[in-house]
Amino acid sequence: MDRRTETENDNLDWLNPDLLIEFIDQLRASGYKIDISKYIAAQDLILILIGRGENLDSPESLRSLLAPIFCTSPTEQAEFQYHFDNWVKYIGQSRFTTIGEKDGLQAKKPIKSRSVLVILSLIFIGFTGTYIFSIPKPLTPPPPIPETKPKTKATCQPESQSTKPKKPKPLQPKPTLPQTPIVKGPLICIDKIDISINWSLGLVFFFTPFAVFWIGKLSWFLLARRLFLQRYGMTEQPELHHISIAGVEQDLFPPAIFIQTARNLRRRIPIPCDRLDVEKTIEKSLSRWGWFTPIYRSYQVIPEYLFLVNRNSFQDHQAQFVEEMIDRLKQDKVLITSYFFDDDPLICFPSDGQGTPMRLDEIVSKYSQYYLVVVSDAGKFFSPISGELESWVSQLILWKDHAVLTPKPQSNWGDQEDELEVEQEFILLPATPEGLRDLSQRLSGKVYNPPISQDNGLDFSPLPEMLRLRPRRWLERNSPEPEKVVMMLDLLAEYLGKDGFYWFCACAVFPELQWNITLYLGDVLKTEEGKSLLESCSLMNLTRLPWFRYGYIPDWLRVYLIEALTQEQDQSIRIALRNLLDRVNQTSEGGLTLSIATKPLKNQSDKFFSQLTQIFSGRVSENSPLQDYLFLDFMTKPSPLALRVPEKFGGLVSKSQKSGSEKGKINRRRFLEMLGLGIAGFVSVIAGKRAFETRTLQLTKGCETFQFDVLTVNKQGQIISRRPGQAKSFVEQLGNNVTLEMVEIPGNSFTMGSPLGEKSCYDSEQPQRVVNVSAFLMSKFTVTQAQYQQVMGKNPSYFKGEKRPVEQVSWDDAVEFCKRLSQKSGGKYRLPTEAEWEYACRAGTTTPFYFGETITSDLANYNGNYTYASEPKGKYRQETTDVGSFPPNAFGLYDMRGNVWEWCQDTWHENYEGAPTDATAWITEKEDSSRVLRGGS
Amino acid sequence: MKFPFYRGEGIQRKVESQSILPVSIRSQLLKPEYYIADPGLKDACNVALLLGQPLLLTGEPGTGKTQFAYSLAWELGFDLPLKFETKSNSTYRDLFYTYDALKRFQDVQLGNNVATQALDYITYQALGMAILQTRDRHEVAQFLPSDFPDFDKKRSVILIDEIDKAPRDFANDLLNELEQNMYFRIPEFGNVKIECDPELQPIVIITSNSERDLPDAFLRRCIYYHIPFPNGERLRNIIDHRLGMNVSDPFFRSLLGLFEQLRDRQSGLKKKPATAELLSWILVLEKFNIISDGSQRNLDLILSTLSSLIKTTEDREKAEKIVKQWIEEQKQKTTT
Repeated sequence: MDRRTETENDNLDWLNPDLLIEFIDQLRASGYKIDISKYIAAQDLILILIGRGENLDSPESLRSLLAPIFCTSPTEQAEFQYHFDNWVKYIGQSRFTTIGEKDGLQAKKPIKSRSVLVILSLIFIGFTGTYIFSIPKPLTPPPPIPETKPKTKATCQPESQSTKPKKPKPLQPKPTLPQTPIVKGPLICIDKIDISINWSLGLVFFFTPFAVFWIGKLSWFLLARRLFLQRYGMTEQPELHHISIAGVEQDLFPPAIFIQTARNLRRRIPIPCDRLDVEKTIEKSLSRWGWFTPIYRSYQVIPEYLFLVNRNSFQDHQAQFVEEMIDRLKQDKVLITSYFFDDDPLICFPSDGQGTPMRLDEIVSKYSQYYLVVVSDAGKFFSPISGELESWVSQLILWKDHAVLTPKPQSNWGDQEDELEVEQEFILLPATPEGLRDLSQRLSGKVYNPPISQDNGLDFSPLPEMLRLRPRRWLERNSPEPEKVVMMLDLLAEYLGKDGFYWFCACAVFPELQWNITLYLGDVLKTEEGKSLLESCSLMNLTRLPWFRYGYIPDWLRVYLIEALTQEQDQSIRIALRNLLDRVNQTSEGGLTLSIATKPLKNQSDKFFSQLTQIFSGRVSENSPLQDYLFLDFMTKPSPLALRVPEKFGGLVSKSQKSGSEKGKINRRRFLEMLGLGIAGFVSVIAGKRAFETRTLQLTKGCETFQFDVLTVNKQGQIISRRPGQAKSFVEQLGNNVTLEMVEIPGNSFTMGSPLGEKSCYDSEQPQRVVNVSAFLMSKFTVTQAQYQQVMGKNPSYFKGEKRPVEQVSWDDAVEFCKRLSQKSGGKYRLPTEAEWEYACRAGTTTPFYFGETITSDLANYNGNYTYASEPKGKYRQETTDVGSFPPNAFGLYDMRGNVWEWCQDTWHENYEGAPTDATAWITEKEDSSRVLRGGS
Repeated sequence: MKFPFYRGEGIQRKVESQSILPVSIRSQLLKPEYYIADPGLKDACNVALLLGQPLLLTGEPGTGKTQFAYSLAWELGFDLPLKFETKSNSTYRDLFYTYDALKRFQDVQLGNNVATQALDYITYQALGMAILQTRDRHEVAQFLPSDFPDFDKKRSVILIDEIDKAPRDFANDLLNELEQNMYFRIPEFGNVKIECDPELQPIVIITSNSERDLPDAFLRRCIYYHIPFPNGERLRNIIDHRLGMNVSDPFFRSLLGLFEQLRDRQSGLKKKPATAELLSWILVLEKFNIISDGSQRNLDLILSTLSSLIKTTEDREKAEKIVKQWIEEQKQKTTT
């Protein structure tokens, strides 16, 4: 029950006559020929359908029923679907939403989105900024100055005596250790983490220039932007928006003349036909004694006229002027068909823009019953080379009545006009309302009063020869020599008169020549005497100028013309234009339609990068033909050629939808831009990497700082200082509550090997050299038996004890351990290289031991019976001790000296001759190559 | 295979009887039962019927404008539509009747007093005939010439063909006649008014080849429909319906493809072949067994059948090129 009423309501909703009438009004506004009877027919139809119990649930069911009522041509029929869709949508909307609000929002949108963009990028920058600077400072404060990699600074004293030099594996360490444990080198680098840190930082650096650039540009834009119209050359067609401006129609012509003209032209004319006029025939026959004498009837028909208008270009003002006159006559019900041709009527184009071009012979046969009126300069009838009549003229005179309307003022007519008039029997008249009136009188057979040349001082001057002979030269993109231009402008000022020249200049202010704007300016702008330009100058004179024929003023000329204006004049023109553009509206089909494209935002960066591009490519090549388009642009610095428009304008030119697809295209220029930005990004990555090099090491998981004391001893083995140290470490869980603690070792360079003359140094530790070590992680303790057991599942040690270091491990075992550990943890564990080991052991010290000048058995587990310096003899424990029993070095690493020997990656070499200086493992492939052991007792 | 009937060799052959020449199949095609209307046309027609307004049809030649009137009359169970062929000098009166004054004059001249009744010199035309037929015969007996065929009171479909040929005034005058209840006067009978039965208003279908030459006022009074050229699917439907051919056959489809190619803007043909031409072309192909044979052997024959599709010399060259290319493609397709 409820449902039913609802649907009924719906029905009522959209069948509401007001809605339907609104729809029909829209159609009418779009140019459909609809009169009252169609409104009624549509209503009737709906009533009939309802009366017949048809189901009219939705407007959709009417789609194909309404079209036949309203359409009168195939195009209308095709467009009807679109209008209908709109209407259906509108009905749907009006039921749920209010439409007004939405429109308001849309107008604001472009501005809003831009500021949103700025805010977003600010947020982005802020975020990345904090990200960069929140990276923790270098780990251990004291250790070697975190210098950049390539620099070599620290010269360190090797500590190597007591350490076993690199020893071939089979050679058991010489020391008298009871245990000859071979202990796993704990050094393990987690490269993976390292890399990921660098990578993300790199990205940040890479994008920083982009972001900064964007923000700069956008905020500059927001601060200083204004909306301008400007003309740009484009090689491809941009997406054009059509904006119509209402209320620019002027009363160009005195109505009185046209009413008279139209009446004359509409006067019916008799045409003969093959039908008998029965009464007259009978009468006549009777009067001839019954001898059959047929009298044929004649028909009164409304005469029809064929206008062929010479039109140089789509914006040809002269043709527009004629068209305006034709339109006036058509409004007055004169039957006129008009065609355009470009200098040569062999091919003519229908004036409504629809339909196919026609050949002259087709036109001759189709319109033979018409009166022919050609609107063209008489000069076009003659060949420019031979001076003979063009061949097509013979086709034109096939029409019984043929007339020529020429834009040339009558006072300048010469031989050519004479020949046309006398020899070819053209009716020759000036192409003015008066000329048209005279034509109508001649054609309708009225007595024709030859025009008294009403020279009101306007139509006098002939077109300057400079312009007449080579009109195209003044239309080129590149300016001729300045002297010539100045000369031409002088002539022009003379030809047009002061006010006419002012009008011309005013037309140059708008980026495009538009017939309607020309008229509007002529109407609005005043001469010094306060009359409008339209009244006081001859529009014909203006439209004869080549620029108005072709509808284009090149930019160089516009500059000259705009400069010729006084500031006051310039101001009033711009205000007038802004007022005009303020009348813009989207719906009505006004007299003036502008095709405008928005200048895509990216083009601003184009400007910025065009210089860059030119550096790369020398010159931007524009090989396809340029075409000028009118662009709506945000600009900060107005050029004299741009025209400021009201903001309202911007709202109507909606955002370009096509730009997305165009973005996909990468042309050379774009490629170079990308390249430029890419290089900038790359450079900044390098710079950033340098600046932040030492900070980049960061632990992401389970990272914590631990404190410890660093001891220093003198030669006597007495503790002379105790500094607190700290380092970062993270804990790798090996399972079973067994953990592996890794300490962060910052990268730096150090001097490796023992200096000559240091006590108990081996040849194999010579010569000293500077090695660069990048940051890595190293196990805080030597690998314990618990850890080894957990990873390898066995414990080969001699001295058992969970916390004791594992021994009796071969190099291969050690490598295997690393491999398994890597698999288990996902990190990348390996043995340290010898350089890394030594660097870690020294921890920035240059003394023989990291404790200072010597070592005592309180500081490490070794054979205390031997002394290095002047320290007293110490304990010889003869077994391994729990890891971490002795104080650590400055990096926070324990047991680097003593307790057990530690494996390195490197193969053993006689000395350091030819060893790498970048802390990579020095491995020489030999069959029996042995590996390096370091750090034992 | 050669052209079976005419050789053009200057040799006369003895033929058993004339009847071996085929009966035109095309005329069969024109039967209304084979007509399939465009859905839009169907709706437009119904609107016109509901509102009692004339239906104006435009469209390319050969899209079935005239045919539609026959189909309509047939479906509604009417007699054949009364057709008025517009001439360039038609006047609206010609729609109703013509009066042969000259003949009467002559008869009088010759002293044939036998037939001096004005009635006998009147010939009723489409609309006049239709209006008369809406009345009972006895009501209008006085207006009927002696040889007027017998009829029952009935409604009819009137087809005014190619109205754009007539002078401009014709359409405007016609408006008045169509506007209210139809009637006409015959001045020769002292201006008697012959009205039609309001119940049985004739259904008026008007066709035009171009709507542009018609006055706006006229366009406004009509229900308008432009018959679009049928697209692929509908084209197949039409062929299926009219010729009963297997349209899903791949060879047939590619034939249609060729046809669409010829119609395409790129083909550069001035006069594009229309549906009617397509149908007769297919008939010809069928005659030559090209379709049922379905293959390559006779493909070249297609070239010689083009004359049913292409009507101007200029176009022919272009079309031949396209067809040759198509034949090449077909041959390749079958060999691979």
